[in-house]
Amino acid sequence: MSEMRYAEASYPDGSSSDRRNALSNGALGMLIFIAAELMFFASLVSAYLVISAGAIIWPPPDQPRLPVALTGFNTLVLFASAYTMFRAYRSFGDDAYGDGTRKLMKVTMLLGTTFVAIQSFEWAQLLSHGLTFTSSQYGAFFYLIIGTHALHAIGAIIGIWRAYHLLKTRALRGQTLMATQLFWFFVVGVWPVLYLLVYWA
Amino acid sequence: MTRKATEWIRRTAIVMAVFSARAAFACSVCATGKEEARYAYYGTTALLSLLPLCMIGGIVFFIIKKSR
Repeated sequence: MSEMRYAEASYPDGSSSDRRNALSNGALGMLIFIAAELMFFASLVSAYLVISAGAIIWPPPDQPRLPVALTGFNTLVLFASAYTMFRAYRSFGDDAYGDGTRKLMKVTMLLGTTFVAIQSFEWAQLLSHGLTFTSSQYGAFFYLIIGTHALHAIGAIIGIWRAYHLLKTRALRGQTLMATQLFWFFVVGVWPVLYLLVYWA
Repeated sequence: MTRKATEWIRRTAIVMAVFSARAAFACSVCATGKEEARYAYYGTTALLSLLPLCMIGGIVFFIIKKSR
């Protein structure tokens, strides 16, 4: 019995199962992980909403304003990266190890890195203008929420980079790419909520 | 204490609990006095309560749809 693989297993009456997984284990695991992460972001957003609604003036008048326009452009960069990731997954389905998938994944990584780089530039500017983690609740929430998102974006870019190297060595499986894609979609999908909430406050 | 007296005390306690109840603000947010803060508190409570249900429902719906 220990030698028997799952695919060879049969029911006691001799018939075999023709049921297939609706979702790969990797994708399901990633969905559960994303659900937990979403709750984490929801708790941060809730804390931010409660504190900002209780403040007399929000954002505090003595704190620097956030760069809405530049971040708006950055949001478009992130949306573009989601599109290229989607196209990369589709391309992998059509021609798994073709040049198209590789190029699209490269572009996704480039756009994701551009997003993080622009954010880093923004942070440097804000720090020089006096918005720090300890300058006010506004600053603390800004760096906590946006910083957490940036960490997720960096983690997702590392995931895409790993998938890209697996693709180059022809060892990439569809479920790995799907899990990577789901996480990137999560990073992109949660961003507009944070952008509207924090930058347009 | 007789059984009748115990019953009388119990009923009185229930009536007092029902009619003397007032809104209790157990957190600093509810006591700020701003209407926005109270709405934010209600909204975030709803968000954190419903989001897990929506996510679990969404995953189950997705799996059922994929398996058909």
